[in-house]
Order: sequence, then structure tokens, then C-alpha cells
Amino acid sequence: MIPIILFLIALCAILMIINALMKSNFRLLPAISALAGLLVSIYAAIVYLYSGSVPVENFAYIPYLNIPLSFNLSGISIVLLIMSSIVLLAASIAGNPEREHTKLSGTMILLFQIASIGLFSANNLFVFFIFWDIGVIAMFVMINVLGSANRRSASINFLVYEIFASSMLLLAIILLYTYTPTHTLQIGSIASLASQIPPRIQLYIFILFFVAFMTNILIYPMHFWLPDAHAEASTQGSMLLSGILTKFGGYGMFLLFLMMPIAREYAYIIAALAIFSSIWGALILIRQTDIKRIVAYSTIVEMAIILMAISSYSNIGEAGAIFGMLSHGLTVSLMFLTAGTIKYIFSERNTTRLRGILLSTPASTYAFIIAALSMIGFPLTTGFITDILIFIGSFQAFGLYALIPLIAILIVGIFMYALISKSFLYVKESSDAGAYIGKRETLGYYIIAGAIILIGIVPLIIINLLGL
Amino acid sequence: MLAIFVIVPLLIGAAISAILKGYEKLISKIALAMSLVSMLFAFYLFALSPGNQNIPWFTLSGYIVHISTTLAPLHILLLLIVAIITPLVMLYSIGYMRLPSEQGRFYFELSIFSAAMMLFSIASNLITMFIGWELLGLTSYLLIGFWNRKENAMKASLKAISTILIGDILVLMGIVILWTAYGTFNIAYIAGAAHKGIAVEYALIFIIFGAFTKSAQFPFHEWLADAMEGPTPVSAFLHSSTMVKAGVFLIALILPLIMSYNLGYILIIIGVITALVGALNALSETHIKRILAYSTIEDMGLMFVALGFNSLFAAIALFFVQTFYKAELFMSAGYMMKANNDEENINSIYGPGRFKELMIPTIIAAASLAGIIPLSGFFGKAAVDSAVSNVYVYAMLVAIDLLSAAYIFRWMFIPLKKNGPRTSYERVPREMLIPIYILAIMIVGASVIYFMLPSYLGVAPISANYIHDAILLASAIIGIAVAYFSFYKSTATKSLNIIYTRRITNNFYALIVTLFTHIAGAVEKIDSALYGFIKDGSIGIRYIGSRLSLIENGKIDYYLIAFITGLTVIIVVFMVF
Repeated sequence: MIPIILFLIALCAILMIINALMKSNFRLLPAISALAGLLVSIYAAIVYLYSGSVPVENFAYIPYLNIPLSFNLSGISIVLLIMSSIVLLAASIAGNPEREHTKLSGTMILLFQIASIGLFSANNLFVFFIFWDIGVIAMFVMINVLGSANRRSASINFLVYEIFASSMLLLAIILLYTYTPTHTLQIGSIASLASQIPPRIQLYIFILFFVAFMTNILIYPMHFWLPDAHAEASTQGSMLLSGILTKFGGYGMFLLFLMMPIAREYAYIIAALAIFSSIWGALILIRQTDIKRIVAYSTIVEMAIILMAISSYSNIGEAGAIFGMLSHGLTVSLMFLTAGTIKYIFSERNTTRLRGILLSTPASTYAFIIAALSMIGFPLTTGFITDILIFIGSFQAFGLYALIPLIAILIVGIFMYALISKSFLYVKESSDAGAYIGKRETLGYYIIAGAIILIGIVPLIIINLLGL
Repeated sequence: MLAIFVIVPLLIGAAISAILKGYEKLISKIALAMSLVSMLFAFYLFALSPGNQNIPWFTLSGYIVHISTTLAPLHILLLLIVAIITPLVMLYSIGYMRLPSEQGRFYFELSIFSAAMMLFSIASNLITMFIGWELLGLTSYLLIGFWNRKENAMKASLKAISTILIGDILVLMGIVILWTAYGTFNIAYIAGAAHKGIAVEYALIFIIFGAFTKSAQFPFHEWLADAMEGPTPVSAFLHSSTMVKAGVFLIALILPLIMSYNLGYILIIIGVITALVGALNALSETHIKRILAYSTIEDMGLMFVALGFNSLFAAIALFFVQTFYKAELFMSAGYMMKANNDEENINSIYGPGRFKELMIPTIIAAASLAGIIPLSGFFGKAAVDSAVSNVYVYAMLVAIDLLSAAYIFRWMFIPLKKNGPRTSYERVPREMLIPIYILAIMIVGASVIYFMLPSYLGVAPISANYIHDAILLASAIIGIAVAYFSFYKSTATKSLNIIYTRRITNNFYALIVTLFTHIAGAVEKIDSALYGFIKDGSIGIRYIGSRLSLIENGKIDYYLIAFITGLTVIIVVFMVF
């Protein structure tokens, strides 16, 4: 049995080095690597479904501290890997309509792919932390170098929040390592050992972890960096930022609730925070006029709903949270791809001035509509399965309060329909198109929109991976 | 043979419409042919009547969610209605939608809508039903905004989808609660289930109000009046005879549970208010299709009243007969508009007096709506009137019957009485007339349903109450007489503005939107203030840092002083503690 995760990471690293060192520009390298990632995760899914588990990969890393380089593919990891591979594939193919900085962006996508593969399959918190920071570095470069006018301040802002989160995470990991009786950081064994830690320390660890993950899952009041970062990031940067980096926080949150039994006591407070955050995000969203900021705030709403599902401690809710991360990753990256392409075509991001998009670029219009429908939870898209799972699971835990975020979805939905009506479908007046989209952008739409609809119609494979 | 295959021909038709470029003339014919295939399949299903069929879809913690269909009497009734109306509307559209550039998109959306409606009608679990339900909303949105160069059409479609989306979310809430309470999505099981706590009551209220948005009940009714910005075949199909009935149908399916929770009063109160608002607005409106839209709103209100009095029979009788006369009236309206160069105001339209071929079917449909005896509309209204057991509600219904006879004949008389010189109007395509005549025949024939329905649905028939029938007939005749003397012999339109509530409702909607915008504005201010505070904080830290950097000045004596001071402090601290 070959260690597929290590193999995949090594492949990405080699391709990244090739991409960075070679003089000529291989634009297809990130796409090849993302495709390899997709194939490997599908292979892992098949192995997982047939034999019930994928072999754990262990390599000595720091034997002195009892920290191995350990990867384990659970069903949840496989689902998130599939999602991130699709997003990376589409981003590397389509996410750069301007064809600017192709070499650097390709390298950064490959670096980010390493981060996402490692993080979602990490079986050890130390490994988790390493890949978390790799992802942050890649994203920082994507904003700082490849972004638009105000990219410097936005990227520094992003970095400040992320360093804060990272330091909290590191502190929590150190505390956990110190206080577990056997000094282990293996995710699987912490769950049973955590109850032996003194309750007070457990609480500290929990809070530190929670604050760290909260920054990436975008819960109020740690959401401030996102809209600025999105407004300035390149299209690829936005896609990866909302599509995958926020899932780092979501996956971390999921592991946290798995590892720390103390989380159960605070589930109500966390759910309340998540519900509040979703409504808050939705209300700010309807005041925005910049199409990228609109999508950015929709991320806040959706991720808050996912956090509520995670904190529900029910089978259905937690499966719904993972399914929601899959759905949201695809949906939001499709939206950012559309938004970036529209920005490229019309040189305009302000929705009050964007008119008649249907006339200039029908493909972008349909892609945006599919993404919006999935966000609203329209049947036959992934969003519907997500909504059913999340709200049934959360309702079992929190009763009628769990249905409040549906109001946020309603607000977002009406706003999205208004946006579609006014800017996309209404063609009496139309903005001037300065460019046309190529085949690559259309292919990117097909990939993600196809995945949204395909998984929405045939959710059974994903649901089986989640063990529901 | 799976019953769900009934939608496949329509989906094929939709796919062909979408991809067939360059053969625009063919599209409408293919779509029509496919809808006829679907209709034959529906009749076949009606004859064969296979039972419940389940296709597994995904699992929910051990529970398997199916795509389930059933052909229980109520379901097949709606399926037949949709299957019969679809080809008629397609045929009518061949005449109505003439521009080649419109063909592909129109028939694609119409076929998808028809498929969704059929799926909705045969769904036996809430998930399958919800798929159809959401697709209805989406296709309705697209079809209302079909003419996407008209600003009004865009606004109307946005209003429709916003209202419908509220309903979608409410129904989704209801589904979530019902599954948690009963552990199943099966509608028949849930309908017959026992009490299960207060949560189910909330679920039912959510679903009832969700149904109200779809069926355009007060205060969610105004979108339907605006929806008349869409093409007329769409109004005849979606916004009178099929889609708006989805709400009524859903409530009819789970009626036993609603009754066991004693929630019928919500249906009655909202139903009566809606019917009254609809009738009054129909009497004072001048837009030829919007009058009919308000009339549809009123019909839906009456159906809810019947359901509120736990009379499935009365609701379904009206449900069935209303389809034909309302579809016919819309098609007549479209015919008149087409013949008058798309004029929409009844005061400027030249009516059936001009084109005699339209006269007979239109009179039949209008008389049926008014409630004249051998026509099917009479039986529908008589059933509702007999179902009402509350005298106040009954009095209201009689008034509404009178009003509806008056407005529908006002709708007919005002165009009819004009005798201007004949100008060269566009010749109306023959395809538009055939469905009108077929529907006129059906209006007469549909009376049978009144006598067949009880045994078919397996419900107790309502014993004929001749006093009620006589009152209904009398109010219809009085209403027609009022219309004749006020609108045919004289002009009484101006004084009617006082009962026209459209502007008030729209202002009310605008108020809610403004309120939300202001709340959101306040939230945004707080949010950016917080963000500013954090930013200021970081600037403050940088300031402290820049001050602190002043002591790092490279002078050894300063460092020495600092070192000795620090050491002293540490020693003191350790000695004291």
C-alpha cells in the first residue's frame, strides 16, 4: 500500500518547485496537480467505502517529542479533499482571466494545495498546525502580490488576524501536549485523554482553540478581515480564501468538538453566537454594493450556520456541517469565479452600475444563478441536502431557535434574487463589455456548477462517506 | 412502470427547446407534441393507477429518503388538470408567442414548469413535493420576468419570488419540524398522525403561511396581481389554474392534522379577508388581466375557507372547476389584447362585440364564474357555500358572490359596449381560438365533477341545500344586473377608487423593505464602528511601540541603569514574596 497522502504532497511540492524554478511558464501544472488530487481522493473514497477505512500513514518526524508525521483519511477528510480538489482545479484553470502573474499564482495555488491536503488529512495536531500556517502564507502572498489597489493594507490586516489565530492555536496545542498524561497530539487519542486534564485547563484549551478557529470560520466578532481581504484578493485568491481557507476553521472546529468533551457544556452559547452571527452577516450583506463583498458576507452567513450544526452534537447535524462545507466551498468559489470574471469583463464591481450581464456573458449569468440557488438551498443542488441535514440536526438539539438562521438565508436569498433580476437578467440597459471570456473560464464554470448539480442530485456517495 | 416517467416527455421537450438553435418554428410544435405524450401518459396512469412507488435518494441517520410518488385520488386529479391544461396552453402559445427569438427560452421554461407541477401533484412525501414546490417558484419567477426588457416585468418577478421565497423557507421549517416529530416525510402518514406537542403546531402554522404565499393570500397576495406582466399564456397557466393552487393542494393533503390541531380558523379568517380584498380590487381595477388575477386571489380565498370548515369536497370541487373557467377567461383576455395591439386597459379595449367568434366562450366562462346554474362554476361555489357553517362567514360569502358576478360582467361589458370604427388590427392567429373553445366545452362538462367527486375521493357529499343554491343564483343575477346597469348602460368607474387597496398593500410592502434597510444600516454602522475600534487599538499599540523604541537608544549608561533597576526590582520582589 503506497502512502497516497504523502505521495500527493510530494507530487505537489515537486510540481511547485518545477513551476517556481523553470524559466518558461507551465500554466497547466496546478491544474494537473489538482486533477491528481481529485483522482486520489476519489480513489480514497472508493477504498473507504469498500473496506471501511483508509490505512493510516505514519512517519517518524520528531521522535524525541513523540510527534509523528501522521495522516489519516476519514470519510470527512475525503469529502473535504474532494471539495478542495474541485475548487483548486477550477481556480487554476479559470481563476485568472487577466492572465497576470501566472507563474507566481500557479506556485501559490500549488502551495495552497499542499496546505489543504495536509490539513484535511492530518492525524496529528502538530501536523495540522504546520499545514494551517502554510495555507496562511500562501494566501498572504496571493493577497499581497496578486491583489488589487488596496492589497497591502488588506493583506496586512489578514495577516494580523491570522497570526493571532495561529498563536492561539499553537498555545492551545502546547497546553494540550503538556497536560495530556501521555504527551500525545494524535487527534484520535486526545478525545479519550482530554477528560483527564484538569477542567480549568480544559476550558483554557477549549477557548484558545475556539478563538483560533473562529477567526477562520468567520464568526462575529472575528469576521472583520474577510470582506477587505476579498475585495482586494485576486479571483483565485478569493476562491481559495472563501472556498477552502474558511473550511480550515470549520474542520478545526469539527475536530475541536470531537476532541474536547468540555465543548458539550458550551454548545448552547456557541450555537447562540453562530445564530447571531448569521443574522448579523445577512443584515450587513444587504447594504453592500460591491459584488465581491456581497459574496464575502454570504460566506459569513453560511459558515455561521455550519458552526451551529457542528455544535448540535447530533449525527445528522454534524454530517450536515461537513456536507455544508462541501456545498459552500463549491458554491462560493463559483460565485467568486463569476464575480472575478464579471470584474474582468466590465471593469466594474459595483452592482448598482452593473446592468444587463446576460447580454454580454450568458455563461457567467447561468453560473451565478446556479450558485445563488445552491446558496438558498434549492433542491437538486448541494445546498438543499445541506439545509435538510443541518436544520434537522440542529432542530433536534436546539429546538425552534435552530430555525432562526433560515431567516438569514431568506434575507440573503431575496437579496440574491434582486441582484440577479436587476444586474443579470434585466437587459433594457447594459454595461459596456470591455473583454470576452475565453474557453477556460467557461470550463471552470462547468466544473464547479456540474459538481454542485451532480452532488445535489446524487448525494448518496457523499452521505455514505459521512457515515449517515 | 414508474409514475414519475410522466414528466420525462416534458423534460425532453425542455431540453430540445434549449438546444435547438436555428429551427425556432419547430420548437413550439415539439413542445406541444411532448406535452401531448405526457397527457396520454397521465391518462394511462389514471386508468392503471399504480400504487405508491419509491426510489431511494439518500439516507438520513438510518431513515431512507425516497423520491416517492402516489396516485391517490386527489393526486391524480391535479395531475390530470395539469396534463390537460398543458397542451392547451402550448397550443395557445403557438399563436401568442410569435417572435422566433422568444421560442427556445419560452418553451423551455414552460415545459420545466409543467414537469415540476406534475411532480408536485404526484409527490407522496414532503421532500419530493418540496422539489416540485421550489421549481414552481423558480419557473414562475423566470416566466413573469420573461420579457426582460420591460422594467415592470423585472420588478414584478422580483416581488413574486421574494414573496414565494418566504413561503419556501416557511415550508422548509415545517418539513424539518414534522420529520423530527414523526420520523417520516410521508404526507399521508403525517396527515393522519396524532398530536405531538406544540412544535407540530408551529410546523403547521409555518406550512399554512407558506401555502398562503404560494396561493397569493392576504397579505401576500399582491405579487399575483403584478405577475400579470408576464405573457398571457403564463398567466392562464401558472397564475390562475395550476401553480397558485399548489398551496391549496398542500393544505388539502394535510388537512386532517390541521383540523386535529384546530387551526381551521386561520384558514377561514385569511380566506375570507383575501376573497373580499380580491373581489373589491377586481371590481375597481382597469387592467384587463389584473382583474382576473384579483379574481383568482378571491377563488383561492374561497378554497381556503372551504378547507377551514373541513370540507375537502367543497374545496376540491371549486379547485377543479375554477381551472377551466379561469384559464378560458385569461385566454379570452389575451385574445382581446392581441386584437387590440396589446392594449391592457379595459376602457380602451374593443371587446368581443368586434370579433364575434370570442363571444360565446367568453360569456360561458364569465357566467360560470358568476355562478349561473348549469355551468360548472355554479356547482363549485354552491359546494363552498353549503360547506360554511358559520352564519357571518356565510353572509360574507354571499356578498362576495354578488361582487364577483358584478366584476366579471363589468370586465366583459366595458369592452363590449364600445362601437368605434373598425381599424386595421392585427389578425389574431387561429391557434389561439381552438383552446378557448375546448375550454368552453370543458366548463360545461366539468359540472359532472360535483356528482362524481364524493365517491371518487371517498368523502361524504354535502346534502344539497336548495336555499343556499337559490341565494347563490339570486346574488349572481343581481350582480350581473348591477354590472349591466352601472357599466353597460352608464359609466360608474370613477367612484370605485375607494375600494382599490392595491396602493396601500404596495406601500405596506415598501415600508417593510425600508424598515429592513434601516435596521441593516444601523447594524452596518455598529459593525464598522467596532472594526474602527479594533483598528484604532492596533494603531494605539503601534504608538506605544514607537514610544518604547525610544529607550533602545544604544547608550550603554542608559542600559546599565535599566539593568540595575530591573535587577533591584526582581530581588525586592523575590525577598518580599
